[in-house]
Amino acid sequence: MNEQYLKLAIVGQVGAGKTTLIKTLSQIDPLQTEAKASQDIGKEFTTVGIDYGRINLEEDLAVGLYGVPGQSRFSFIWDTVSKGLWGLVFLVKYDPQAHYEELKEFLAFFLTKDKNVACLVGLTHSENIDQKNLIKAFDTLQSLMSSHKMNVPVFPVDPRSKDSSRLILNTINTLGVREA
Amino acid sequence: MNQQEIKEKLKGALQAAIKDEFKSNSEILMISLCTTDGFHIHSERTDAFDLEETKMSAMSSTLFSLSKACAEIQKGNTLNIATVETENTHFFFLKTDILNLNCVLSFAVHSKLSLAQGRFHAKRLSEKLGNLPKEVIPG
Ligand SMILES: Nc1nc2c(ncn2[C@@H]2O[C@H](COP(=O)(O)OP(=O)(O)OP(=O)(O)O)[C@@H](O)[C@H]2O)c(=O)[nH]1
Ligand SMILES: [Mg+2]
Repeated sequence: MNEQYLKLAIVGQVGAGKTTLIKTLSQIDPLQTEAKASQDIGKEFTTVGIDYGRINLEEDLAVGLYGVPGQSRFSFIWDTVSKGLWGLVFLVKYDPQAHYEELKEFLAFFLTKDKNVACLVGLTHSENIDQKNLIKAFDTLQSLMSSHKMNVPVFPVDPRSKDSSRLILNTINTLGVREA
Repeated sequence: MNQQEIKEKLKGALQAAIKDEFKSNSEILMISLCTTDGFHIHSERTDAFDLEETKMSAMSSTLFSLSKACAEIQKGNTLNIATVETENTHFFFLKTDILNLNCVLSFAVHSKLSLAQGRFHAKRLSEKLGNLPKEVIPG
C-alpha cells in the first residue's frame, strides 16, 4: 500500500494559536521548538523554529502539520515550508482594532508561490466576541483576501478544541487538490 | 547603580568580551549573541559574513531549538553545543545563560582550526559571558 503524504502549513502572528492547533490535531507527539520569550508578548513561551505534527485523514493518507512563526525575521522558514504545499491555514488572532497587517505580509509571500493551494482563514480568540463585531472582523478579513484575489473561507476557530480544529482540517480536505 | 545602569554596563561588558575574543584570532570569522527567542544582542564578523543580524539571530535560535529537540529524542539527553561543518567553516551554537536571560552564542571559525580548537574558543567565550554578571554587578 502506498501511503500519500500531504503538507499543511499553519501560519499566523504571535499567539494566534498555531502551536495549540498542531498539538490538538496531531496523532504523534509533536515537535515543538518553544523558547522563553525575552520580551513581553503576553505569554511565557514562543515558537522559534517549527512545530510539526502528523495526522492520518484516512488509512493511507497522512497530513504533515507545519507550524511556522509569524515574524518576518523567520521568513527563511517560510521558504522551506512553502514548497509543495497542499493546504495553508492562516490563523488570525481577533483584533478589535482590525489591524491585520501581518496577514498581508504572509499573503504576499505565500500566495505568489502557488495559487492551487487550498487556503482558509481561521479567526482565533474569538469565542467571546459578539455577533456584530464578529461579522465586522469577517468582512475586514474577507475584503483583505479579495484584494489579493483570493476567495477563501473565513471562520472562527478555537485551536484548543478538537472539534473546532478538525473542522479546519476537514474544510481544507474538501478544498484541497490531491494528485492521483 | 539602578537597573538601567546595570543593564548598560553589562551590555558594554558583553560587547567588549565578544570583541576581544573576535580580535584574538584571525581564524574566528563570526561571533553573534542573541536570545533563545531570536533577538539580536551583539555581533562581530568578517566581511565574508554578509548577513543581516536579525536574520542570523532568528536562524541561530531556530537551529539551536531544533537541535535541542533532536538531542532530546533520547531520554535524559540535553544539548550542549550544536555544530555545523562546511568545507571552509565550522559553526558552533552554544547555550549561554546570562543571569536569567537565555541566550545562544553563535561562533564560526575557519576550518584551518580543528573542530576541537574551534569548540575550545567558543566554549571559553560562552563561559566568560555567563560569568560576566558576577564581575560587573556589585554585591
Ligand atoms: N481564549 C482562547 N485562547 C486561545 C485560542 N487559541 C489559542 N489560545 C491560547 O493562546 C495561547 C497562545 O497560543 P500558541 O498556540 O502558543 O500560539 P502560537 O501561534 O503558537 O504563538 P507563537 O509560537 O508565539 O507564534 C495559548 O495559551 C493558547 O491556549 C482561542 O481561540 N481562544
Ligand atoms: Mg507557537
